[in-house]
Amino acid sequence: MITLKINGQQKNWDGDPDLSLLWFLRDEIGLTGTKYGCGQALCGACTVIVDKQAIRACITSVSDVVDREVTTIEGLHPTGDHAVQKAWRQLNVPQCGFCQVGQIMQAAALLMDNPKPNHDQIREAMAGNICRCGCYQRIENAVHLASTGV
Amino acid sequence: MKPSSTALAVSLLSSVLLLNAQAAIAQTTSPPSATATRPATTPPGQTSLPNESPPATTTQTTGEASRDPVVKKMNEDEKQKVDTKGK
Amino acid sequence: MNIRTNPKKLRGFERYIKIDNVSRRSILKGLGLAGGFVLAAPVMSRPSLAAYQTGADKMPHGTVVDPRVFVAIAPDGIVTIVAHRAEMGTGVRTSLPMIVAEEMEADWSRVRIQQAHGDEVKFGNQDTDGSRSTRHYLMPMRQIGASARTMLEAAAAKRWGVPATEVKAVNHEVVHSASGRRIGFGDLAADAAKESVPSVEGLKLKDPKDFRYLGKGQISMVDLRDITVGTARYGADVRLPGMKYAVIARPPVTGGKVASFDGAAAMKVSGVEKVMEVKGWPWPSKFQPLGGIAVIGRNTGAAIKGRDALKIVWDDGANGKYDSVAYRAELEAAARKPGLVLRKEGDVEAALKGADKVIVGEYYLPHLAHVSMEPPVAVADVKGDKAEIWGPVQSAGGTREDVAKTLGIPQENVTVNVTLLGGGFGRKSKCDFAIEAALLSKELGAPVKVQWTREDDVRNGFLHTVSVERIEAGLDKSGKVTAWRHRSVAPSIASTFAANTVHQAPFELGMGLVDMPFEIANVQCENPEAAAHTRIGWFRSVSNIPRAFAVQSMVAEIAHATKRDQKDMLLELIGSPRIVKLDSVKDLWNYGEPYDSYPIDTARLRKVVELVADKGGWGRSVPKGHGLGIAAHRSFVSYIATIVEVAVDDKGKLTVPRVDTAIDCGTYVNPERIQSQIEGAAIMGMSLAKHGAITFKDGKVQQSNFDDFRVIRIDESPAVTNVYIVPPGSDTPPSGVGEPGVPPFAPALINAIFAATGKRIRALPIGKQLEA
Repeated sequence: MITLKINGQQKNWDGDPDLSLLWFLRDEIGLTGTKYGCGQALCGACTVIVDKQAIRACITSVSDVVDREVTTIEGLHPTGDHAVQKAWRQLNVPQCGFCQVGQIMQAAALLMDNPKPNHDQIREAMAGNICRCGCYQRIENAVHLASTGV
Repeated sequence: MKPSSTALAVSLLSSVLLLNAQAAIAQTTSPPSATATRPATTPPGQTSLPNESPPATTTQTTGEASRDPVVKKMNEDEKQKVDTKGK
Repeated sequence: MNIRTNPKKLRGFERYIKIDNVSRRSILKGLGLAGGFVLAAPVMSRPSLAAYQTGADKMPHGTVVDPRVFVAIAPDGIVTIVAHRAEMGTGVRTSLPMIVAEEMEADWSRVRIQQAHGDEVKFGNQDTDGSRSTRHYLMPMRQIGASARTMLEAAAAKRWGVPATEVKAVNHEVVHSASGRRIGFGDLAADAAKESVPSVEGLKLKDPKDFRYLGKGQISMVDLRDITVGTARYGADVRLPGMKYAVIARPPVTGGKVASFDGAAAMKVSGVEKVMEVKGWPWPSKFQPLGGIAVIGRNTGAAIKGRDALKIVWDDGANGKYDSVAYRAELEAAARKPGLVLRKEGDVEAALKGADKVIVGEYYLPHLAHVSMEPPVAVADVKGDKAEIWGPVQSAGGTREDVAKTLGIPQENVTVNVTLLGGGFGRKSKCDFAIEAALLSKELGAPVKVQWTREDDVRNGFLHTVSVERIEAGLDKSGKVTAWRHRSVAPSIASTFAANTVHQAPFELGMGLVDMPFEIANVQCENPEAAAHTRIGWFRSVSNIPRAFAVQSMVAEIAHATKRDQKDMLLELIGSPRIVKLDSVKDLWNYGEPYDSYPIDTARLRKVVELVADKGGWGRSVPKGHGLGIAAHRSFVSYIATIVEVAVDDKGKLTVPRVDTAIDCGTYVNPERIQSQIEGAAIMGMSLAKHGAITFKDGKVQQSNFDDFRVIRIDESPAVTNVYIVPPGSDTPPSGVGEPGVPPFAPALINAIFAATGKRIRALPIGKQLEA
């Protein structure tokens, strides 16, 4: 039996300890905000925050995050009004929106680490998150906006 | 909100340098692999195929018609549809 | 947002999907009992009466203009408007209902959206593709809104005993200004529902100067908040009680099948419940599944791990030798010989022979994969002779038809619930993944989700075609172009429906080949034969991508050969402002639109070139190693021109400091979403230009995921993309937005690279060509 702490709640798992955190979140406990996009840490759609660091849930096993604080989009902010989320809405960032949860989690982690990232730091930190619709210009502007106050 | 394009062009170039430095750091330290924000391996470049390709060797097979009458009808209907309506 | 699902299924299952699907019964039961607007009147197809004609009524099931189908008003004043097209990022789920709200004078803050399930008899055509939604539905949606407004006004006038001409709907209430009386939409709902639906012919539409929402761009997508907090429901997010998770190992070669398999190791994987064969159809079979071996698990992760443990021997079939290197040579050889002549003006052969100079360009574009961020996925629940599907499908009606036919049950027994689409780009116009889920659910007697992995998506999709475009341009002594021969060779999308297809279909030929707009005396367009060896499908912008790449590259090549400015050359070739006559073209597709409403108007093409040149600073001086390129193209009956500034460093690494695009898409609804579509199109255009290639060896796709099928990431994306929208004339019909942005990007980039480096790239992707 593995016990995980997800968005402040304890979740138990007695299945395969190598199951990826992504499928545990999505299929086993119904936290579908975290998305599957590639399964190989290539696209960032499954980004969640573990102990203040953005990680790719698709290549992280449930046993890797025992005793660590896992934050998903559902737990990022109690009313969904994190500065990053507000900036995303203010600039109408999404198109299809599928990658945006991963983008938002990555951006939130970036701002925890570096509250005032510059243009290059934003692009560097966000480079692991693919958006096939191509919302990059707005993503960059939204991270900047979130860091300067919405 | 938008910086001038000249300033962006300059900073974009410096981001290229920064990124390379960052990639080097990512390889020398050993955080959990899941923290990597980029693919660990450098993807192979897509080199365009040369103009002097060898001549065709494959036989021109054009597919096998579906034997299922329902599917055959679906195919015909769709063919009709795309011929007239396009996408 | 309303939750309108079967309460029986909801019970005890809190994380049931949050999708609004309208069924006639639920509206009647819900709003009808509560004194709502919707009546149990028979639904009839009522074609729109437009000031301009579109091809809408020629689409399968045409249009339905009926407020009883699309609008409901609850006693509390909440107006519910049905969105019958699929949302994949264009904002259509917001834009079309917004048109209704505009005309009926509804207050947007009191409007709720319900997603229509697949039912084209009821809602009209639902194929969300071809950049058609706004151009086909602007007028029908206005008429629906105006009908609802007229009924509300009539009800208020009756209640007050005044002539209907004295009352007016204003912002969610009807006002009688003479007496100062006013009454809200909610209070009028029950009475308005008793009014007869006015004839379309007699409707009075709003004066555009009174528009509050149309053309303004201040309204965000209705799904915006859900997207940012993670509650937006995509196909992948649908969960049903007792649902099984499946992944499928499909034949690696198109037309292949399972020879034998051993699932014993897979069954030993923790969480794997079953290994079973899935029916496949011989190629070509429209959108029918490829077949293969399914692994069923208690979660997707277990199913994937189980699939990795399968041992399968495949029979590759006739396409086992498909090889991209060899195939390119075949296409080139075909392009160097005459082909089927589709357009002929003057005498090209003689004009080329007599030319002072002939410039020849052969342009190659490989297969491309859509790689929408949400890979194909669907949930099916088949019970007896009834089936319910949940999925990110671009064509809900088509999915319903195909699932019904495959299962051998009546269409009425199939419910297709349309979720949000995590990207579509044409891939999700094919419902094979929904059929797979239906087949498995029927077999297992339980709800099943079929999840495609990214590798499946890259290897087993319906790819963009592969093409060689060869253009010969003959110039006279003065440098004027007197001859233009364009041969286009590519396997056709029609090969996915009919064996032995070797010619492209009219709709493919009409995307930048036979509709070439230049003013040249001798023109010939030809299509030599090409056979398909994999499934070919629509990819955003379709054949316009290779055509714009070839034609607009050739313009710059001619400019260089004659020492002229690219933009000047382009304008010279477009020629005088005129309506292009294409008398020699037999089946001019014109994107399904009547030529009278949507002719090829070179004045509009010239205008976007001039606008982008002006706003985008064409001719400005750029730093060393930078270059500017321009390209213009008409597609999906819109006109668009793009300027790209590129910077190439001494190692051949390219960056894009700036992109400028001007679009004329006629009358438009939401300029903010147009801007976002064009910004995104630059990224998609750059992805295919810089990295995009799916290649085959031994019949198998050589790429698998985002590491070897690369797309543009933020750190290589253009620093800034500016978008300029041409203000429409008062009577300019709406035209496409979703796709037109992509085609001009690659040639503008390639022309910019030439300006920066003197290197002319004729084969995409650019890859490492600049590093040599």
